[in-house]
Parts: sequence; structure tokens; C-alpha cells
Amino acid sequence: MTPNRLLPLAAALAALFLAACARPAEDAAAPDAAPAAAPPIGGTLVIYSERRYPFLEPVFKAYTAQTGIRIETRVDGADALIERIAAEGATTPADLLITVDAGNLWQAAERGILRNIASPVLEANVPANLRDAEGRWFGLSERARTLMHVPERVDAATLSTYEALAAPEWKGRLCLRSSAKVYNQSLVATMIERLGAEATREVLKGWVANLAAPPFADDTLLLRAIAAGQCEVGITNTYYLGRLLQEDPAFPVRPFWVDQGGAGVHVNISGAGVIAHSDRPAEAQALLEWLSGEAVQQQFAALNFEYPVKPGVALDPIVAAWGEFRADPVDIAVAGRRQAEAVMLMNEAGWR
Amino acid sequence: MALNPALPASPALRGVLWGVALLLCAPLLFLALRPGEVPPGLWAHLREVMLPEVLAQTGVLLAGVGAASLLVGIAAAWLVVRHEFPGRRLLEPALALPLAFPAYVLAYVYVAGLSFDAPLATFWRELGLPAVAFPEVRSLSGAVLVLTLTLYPYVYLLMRASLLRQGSAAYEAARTLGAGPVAAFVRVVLPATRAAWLGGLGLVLLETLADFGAMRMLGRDTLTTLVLQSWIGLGSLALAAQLALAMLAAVVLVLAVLLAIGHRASPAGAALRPPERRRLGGGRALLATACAAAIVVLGVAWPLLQLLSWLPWQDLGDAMPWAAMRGTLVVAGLTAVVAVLVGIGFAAARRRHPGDRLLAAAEAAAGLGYAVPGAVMAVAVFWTLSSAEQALGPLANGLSTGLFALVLALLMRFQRVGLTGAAAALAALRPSLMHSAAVLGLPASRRWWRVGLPVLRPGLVAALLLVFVEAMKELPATLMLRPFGWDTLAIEVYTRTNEGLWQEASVPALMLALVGLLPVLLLLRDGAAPGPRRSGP
Repeated sequence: MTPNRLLPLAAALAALFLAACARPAEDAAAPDAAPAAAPPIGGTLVIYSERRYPFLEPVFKAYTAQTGIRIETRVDGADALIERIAAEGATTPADLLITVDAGNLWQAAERGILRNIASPVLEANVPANLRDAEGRWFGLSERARTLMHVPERVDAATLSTYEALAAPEWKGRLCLRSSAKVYNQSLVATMIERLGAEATREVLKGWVANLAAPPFADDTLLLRAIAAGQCEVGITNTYYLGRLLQEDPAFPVRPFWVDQGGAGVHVNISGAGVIAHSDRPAEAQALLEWLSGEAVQQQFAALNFEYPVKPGVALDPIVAAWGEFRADPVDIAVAGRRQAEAVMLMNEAGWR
Repeated sequence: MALNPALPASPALRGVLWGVALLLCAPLLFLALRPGEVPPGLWAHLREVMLPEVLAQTGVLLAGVGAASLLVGIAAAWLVVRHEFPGRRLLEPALALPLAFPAYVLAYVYVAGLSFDAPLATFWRELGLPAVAFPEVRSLSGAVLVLTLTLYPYVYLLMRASLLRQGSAAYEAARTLGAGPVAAFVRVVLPATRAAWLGGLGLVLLETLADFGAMRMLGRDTLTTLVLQSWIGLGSLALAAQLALAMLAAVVLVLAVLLAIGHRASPAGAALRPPERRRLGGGRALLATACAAAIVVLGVAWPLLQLLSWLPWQDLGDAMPWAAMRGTLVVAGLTAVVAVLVGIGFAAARRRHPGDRLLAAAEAAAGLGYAVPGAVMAVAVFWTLSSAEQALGPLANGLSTGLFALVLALLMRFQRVGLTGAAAALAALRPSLMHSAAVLGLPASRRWWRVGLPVLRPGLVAALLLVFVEAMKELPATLMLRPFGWDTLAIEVYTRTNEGLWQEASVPALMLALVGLLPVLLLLRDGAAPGPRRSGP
């Protein structure tokens, strides 16, 4: 009885095993074959990316169509990618690293895995506070992390700064995402830079005391909890709201642009840097420059309802409807410099 | 060729098995020995702020999930093997199905399905019930519930197989001699099946300790998430490595205790007749059906329906992760085959030389990685292999970025399952059976083919499938080590839920559950018949 059932299973496994063995051979053959074929046009760029492939695919496809250069993408967590590039050393196949938090890019630069680039194009397109002073990494899109509320329920006049949410009147009304998320760590890092560690600790303790529900695992659930009335105000990235609004234009939550008379809205970036040991640094830099250009900037940001880093580029209509805001001009590298400090403060405040 | 338990293993056999064990431990040793400075203040911070809470939380989780899994697993197995009640035929296999769900998928279903704006909570408030009284799954009790629901099948399956093998004679004899049902169960059945439920408990505890995805989703801090936080949040891989080693010590302790208790278990022979089922009547039958059905609803039926309801039906074709399915099959299949082959090697050697402590130690070492968080395992494997690459030059090119690295990491994680499974399979082959075959004049090669293999087969299939499901569900190590183009279903679930794309995540999550269901069903069918099967004409 069972052997009859097991035979096909065994055969399938064997076939898959053969497929598995055949595959790396193809991959291994590719790098040898490519340069011999056509050095200037074509070839392959290998991208290690933390940014999900659907948000990259359309622009990469366009690039391949334009230049003939194939792009291979490997998506993973930034820390895993950075460790991997560091461990691969000179043998790394990676040409470009894309991550979604400045803290991660700062970390990568600290580890010495990114190359210094002097590019007038990138310097013109990317504002100075959204790129590394030494040219090791550059922002490609801007992501705003601000207060979220349902305007009909919570009057915008009662909202002001991030810090104000620590006041007792918000008890049982605030929702936060888990402190494990790097977006929150970067927000706290900029608060430490601005307010000092002691004052930030007090703010965080106030936030934790005001929580309406345990911290959420992601921003989407948090936004839905605000819409449903579980919480009255929360802190999330705006593009999550963009996705929800695209699905359901009647979704009631709106951003409140925080602290417009003061520091402004905390913005982070998704960005990229050329790998120090890249075999094709010139091509990688060309791709990076292309990504910072006007047309691509618009598409790259709009794919995920983010903001282009290049000033003056048109916004997605959903994003444009939220109005303009003043962003915190702080050097975003602080997100990396103060990350460990921020995590410790969040731990001490009991933010999990 | 007769078995002689007093004989120690030959140096060659010891060498080979120790070699395998060392290969499976080497990356962890490398991690331990690699010098790494922990930045000043970090240990103090952990000691004062995080460790007290994390240790308490981990302890409560282990105790809660362990106790609940034993209770549910043993009770369910006893109920379906020894009783007849309405729906028993359907519930018996259904009770094993939650094994197909990775804990992080169940956590995802529970968090999203019980969220404030989901239909259940909305309905609750419409009934006028207070919103604060609605169960919050992102809590310690929620974590115990989710982990128990995914892990109790280990106890259930092993216990069920053990009860089927043993028949009902001993229990009935105890009852005839005047023992009450509870006394007979506690004093006859539990001791006789100790190896089964202790083995299940061991798996449950180690899985609980190593879980990462579900704990993240439920907002719980355990030693594993602390290891990850030390590396990712606090930026110190050295600190993470030191914590991981401390965890390893805890694992060794757990295994040693289980081994010590299990060692005293009395070996139970296989019964000649299948166990008799007692027909439950009236209220008792109803209660049995209701309890078993409740577990199945919470662990399988509701999660499956939730996932189905989230499926993006319109563009299902685009959402199908075919490549990830192939990746899952190859990666988990390879891991299962190798793990079981290694497991057979150890089990056969241990059987032939039961008194050889060196072999016992090698076996324990080979299974150590089971409670090491996958992410730490991945770092260890990756460092070791890339160092080897740099040392060996072009010979070893691609070692750390190929399929080998991933399969090695998965083997290190799940060799324990392969060892347990192979040992259990070999236990079915009593020496007397082979002796009888020899006495009957069968030559050695045909003895194995005609007698050995048929007896071993169900156990080995079970072992293969258990490793397969484990490897398929593994997340952090797969995430870090998979070669280009080798995405798995677990990766798809992770990347989609991580971005808050809950609907999109339902497709790979459902596939994972469905692929996971098949081995569990096969496993159930193979465990259905008691005792060694007759073979051939």
C-alpha cells in the first residue's frame, strides 16, 4: 500500500534534488560568460535590497529595457544583508545595497562596506541631510512618520507635537507600534538628539503609560485600530495610510503634520550605496544616479506612496491630498549613531 | 553478528559519528570562540532592564505551553485511541493537523482575526459587551494559546502511536484488578508511554524557546527575541552570541532532564491486537466530541477559514508563489533526507552499542542546534563557511552562498527531529525479529529487505515528514541563507506580513498550511495500524 504512494513522492524529491543541483551551476556559469559577451552594454548588476521587490520591479524593468543591463535582486533584512556583505568581503557578488532606514545605511557605512562616491548628479538631486556627508549612501525616497487620527473624532487643534502625547490627558488613547521596529528607533534617536536622553525617557514613559492597547506588530494594524476607534491617535509612516486609502477611499484616518512651528515631521529615507567591493562600481553608480532623476523619482516614490527626495517632483494624488509639511531638517545619520541608545531608552521606559 | 551490548563501538564508527556531530556543531563552536567585544554598558543594561522580565516571560511560556500541550496532547490521544464517540473518525486525523501551521502563521491569523476592527470584535461590541473584555491575543496568555495550538500535535501524535502500539491489555488488566480509571491511567498507561510524551514535551519546549516569528507578532519578549534585539537593535553580534550560548546551556539542561527521566521508562512491547475502543454514551460522548472539535476549530478550522476569507480571489493567479513552492520542496526535502540518514546512522550505532557513552554524547551534540534560534544559527553557519571559503580559496567558492549553507543550517536546527524519529523507527525492530528471520534461514541482505525495511518503514516515513515540515516552516535561517532565486513559502509569508500586506500574505500562508497538511495526513495513515506490519506474500 504505502510504497505505491511513496514512490511518486520519492521520484518527485529526486527530481527536485536534481533541479537543485543543476541550478547553482547555471548561476556559477553566468559571471564568467557575461563580461566576455559585451562589457559596456548588458551584463548583470546584483542588488542586495531590504526594499520589497514589487516596489523595485517596475523601475528595474524600465532600466533593463533602456540599458540592457540585467538586475538581480536579493531581498532580506538589512542586518542580514550587511553581515553577509561584510562576510563576503572581496568575493561579494553585490554591487548596490538598498535599505529602508537611514540607521541601516549608517551601519553599513560604519562597517566599511560602502564606497565613497563623488557624483554631481546625486549631490544635486538628493538634499544634504538625506545623504551621507562622505558620499557613501544617498536617500532615494522620503518617508514621513507622523501622528495619525480620525479628524472627525479627534480635533486637529488638540494635537501638536510627539512629546505632547505623553501628557496625562492622552491616557488610554494612544497606540504605538512595537519598539522592535527600526522606524520607531530612528524616531526616538532624533528625539534624543533634539531633547536629550533624560527628557526623551520621560516622554517615552508618558507614551507607555498612555497606551490604549499593547504595541502593534505593524503600522497597518495600528491604522485600522485607529479607524475602528480602539485608539484615538497613533504614530505611523504615511505610506501605510496610502495603501489603505488606495484599497478603500473612505478609510477615515488622516495624518496630522506634527510640530510645524518647531522641529517638524520626522522623516526617514529608503536609500542606497555602492558596495565597496563591487566589480562594476561605475555601472552601480549610474543606476543610482538614474534612480535619483526626476521621472524615476516620481515613479519610485509613488509605487509605495512615499515622497521623492528630489525637490519639486510631483506626488501621487493620494499623497498630495494630505498637503505639504515641514520636515525635521536633522541629519538623518543620527538615526544610526544613536540607535543603540534609543533601544536602551525604549527598553527602560517599558516600550516593548 | 549477534548483538553484544557490552561491546564498545569501534574507533572507526566512533570517529565517523563524532565527525558528523562535530560538523553539525562546528559553526556554533566557531560562534562561541570568535572573539567579540561587547560594548561597555550593554550587559549592565540587559541585566538590569531586560533579563528579569525576559527570563520570567520565557519561564512562564515554557511552563504554560509545556503543561497545556501535555494536557491536550495526552487527553486527545487517549480519547481517540481508546474511545468511540460521534465524529471520532474525522476528529482523530483532524487533531494532528495544526502541526501544519507554523506558529507565526497562526499568530498572524489570530492577531489579524481578533483585531479590534475585525468582524468578531465588532460583533462582540454590537452585542453590547465591553470592548476591554474582548480577548487580547497580543498577551502572555495569547502567546501560550497560539504556541500550544501549534505544538501539542507533537505530544498527540507520539502518544497516539504509542497507545496504538501497546493495545489495551495492561490497562484492562489493571482495571480488572480493581484500579479506578484514573489510577489505572496514571499508574499503568502514563509510565508505559513515558518515552512518547516526554519526547513530545521535549520538542514542544525546544520549539517554544526558539520561536521568533510568533513572539514578534504577539509582542512577547523571550530569550530568542532578546538575542535578535541584541544583534539588530543594540548592534552587538557578540552580545547576541553570548546570549545564544547561555540559551544553549539551558537547552542542554532541558535535554538532560528529559533524558534522565526517559531513561527510566520501561520499554513496552508491541501488542498483538489493536486496542479496544470503549463506546461513550450520552452526555459523555457529546462532551468528548465537543472538546475535540473545539481544539480542531481553534487550531485548524477557524484559521483555515480566516486565511481563505483573506484570499485575493480576483488576482489569485498572479499571487500564486510557484517559485516559492518549488524552493520549499527542494530545501525541506533535502534537509529531511539527510537528517533521517544521519539519524539512522546514530540510532543503529547506539542500538548496537547501547553502553557506549561517547556515542551517546555525540548523538546529543548532533541534536543540540534544535533550540538555537534560526537567526543565530544562520550567522554561525555563514561565518564558518565564509571563513572556510577565504581559507580554501577557489576550491570552496560559493560554499556560504549556495544551497549547502542553507541545508546545513536547517540540518543543524532539525537534526534532533531526525535523531528522535530514526531512533523511534528502529525501536520497532526488536532484535528477536531479526533473530527469528536468521533462524528461518534468510540471508542477511534479504533479512533486511524482507523483515527489517517493512518494520522500519512507517517510522522512517514519519521521521522524514516531521523533518520536512519543520524545515519548511523555518523562517530566520532561511531568510538569511537562501541563495538567489530560492525563496520559500515561509519567506513569502514573512515579507508580506512584515510590510503589513495581510491579504497578500494569506496566499503563501495557506499554501504552507496545505503543503504541511499532506505530510501530516500521510503520517496519520502510517501510524494507523498498530504493531509491525506483515510484509510480502
